[in-house]
Amino acid sequence: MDACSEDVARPFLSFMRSIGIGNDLLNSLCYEVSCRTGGDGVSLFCLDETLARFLKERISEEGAHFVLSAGVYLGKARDGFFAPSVSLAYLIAERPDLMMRTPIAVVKKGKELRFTHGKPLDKGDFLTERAGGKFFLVLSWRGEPIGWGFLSGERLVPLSDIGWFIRSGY
Amino acid sequence: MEEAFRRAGLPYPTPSEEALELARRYGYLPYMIERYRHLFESREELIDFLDSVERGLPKYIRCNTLAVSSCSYLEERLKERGISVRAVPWLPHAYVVESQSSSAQLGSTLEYLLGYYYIQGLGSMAVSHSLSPRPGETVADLAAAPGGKTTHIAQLMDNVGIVLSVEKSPLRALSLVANIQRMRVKNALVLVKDILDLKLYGAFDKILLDAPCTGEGLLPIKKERKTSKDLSDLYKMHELQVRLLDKSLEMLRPGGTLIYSTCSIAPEENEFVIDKVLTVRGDVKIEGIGNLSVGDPGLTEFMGHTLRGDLRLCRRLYPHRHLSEGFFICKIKRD
Repeated sequence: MDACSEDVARPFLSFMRSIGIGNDLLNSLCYEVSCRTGGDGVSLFCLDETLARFLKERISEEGAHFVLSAGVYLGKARDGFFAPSVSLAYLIAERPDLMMRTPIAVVKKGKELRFTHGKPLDKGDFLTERAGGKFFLVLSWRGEPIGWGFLSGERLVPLSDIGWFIRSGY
Repeated sequence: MEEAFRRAGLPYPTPSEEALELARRYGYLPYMIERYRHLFESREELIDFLDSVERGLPKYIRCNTLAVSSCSYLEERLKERGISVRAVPWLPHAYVVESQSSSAQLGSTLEYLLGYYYIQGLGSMAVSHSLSPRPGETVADLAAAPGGKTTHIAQLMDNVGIVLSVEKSPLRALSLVANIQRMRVKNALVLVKDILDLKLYGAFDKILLDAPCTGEGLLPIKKERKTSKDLSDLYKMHELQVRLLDKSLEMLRPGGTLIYSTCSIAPEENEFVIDKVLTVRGDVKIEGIGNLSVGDPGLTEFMGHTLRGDLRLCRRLYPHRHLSEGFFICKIKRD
């Protein structure tokens, strides 16, 4: 686990800007963003100050390469693209000042199961607010974050969703 | 093996006629029943225990206050799904599943995926509750996968402070990370390393060592355990647990507390381990677990072996008494 390189930071920062969260707001979300390189891309993590200091001052002697995860998992960067995690959705949803900037899609009652199975939703099964960019933070009809999506034509396609936990087999 | 047990200061169980008879009837390896004859106060209680294993246990969930603002709201949401739960009076956030409609799947509801609850045994929840971690503390959960106790610890800390979760197996560590994400934990750090290789001396206010064990307490939910472990497994586990406990105590800061727990009712994996480690250390002592109102006292004598008296401050949970998987919990304080 290390500081993130510019190559990795760029797609992440670009994604955050695309959903209305610039660097100033990002700095208020995370004290530090750290990276871990794996075979399938680079994982990014959001750390508060206490955890960041502990990682630097105590865990470094254990070997930072033994750290699998720290703080909040933000998503994965690979080939210039950033795939956001559901945890990032939760982090943003806790902040009204961020939610008022972020494009959202609200899934109608009874349709969340389809979305959380990783399947696209048809027009009429969801509503959008602050559309303009490519990506949407997706909420259930009760306002609960259930993932991220993007529009393909008039369909909302899951980019990440809470059903991943079951599909992962854990 | 008898010689190894003797050298390790452990009683060697030679099965009696009664043990052989009950082992045949219930399908156990005889050495296990012989030990239970000394663990329980009477044949009636022994049979009560064996019958409780056959009955199995209710399912329990832990309401996750990191994700849901009110546990009574969770109760309502589950009721809509056809799942009825009732609070366990002696354990905060713990609920017993009273009934489920045939279509309801506890492990795949929207509420489960949102991290509103964790499916967890009562004994397992009692362990983190006994540790009593506070916001702002630096806490270690050693042998942490798949994350039931790490996520419970983080919940009790309200995501403030540090939870270092250590897991030796890279594969099991993945399930730990997945549960940390699902349960909205923000203050955990997952380290894939062997506890015995750690150098974090004096680093922690609190440590949970939920030691690897033979899993004898899990008999109600894993019936194969009746025959899957023999005396050599018990011996090897005991030796490992002694080393792990000794190492873990080194990582505790002066004044810090450690909870030693196992999902085993085997005294060889519990009281005998603590007795052995604490007898040679002058810097630690056993304390009572003030916030745990259930459980039998730890053993101070077993099969003719006398152990230290303060082990009675430890707690034992049993399926036939507490409707819990078998668990051992002991609180140790470093001076």
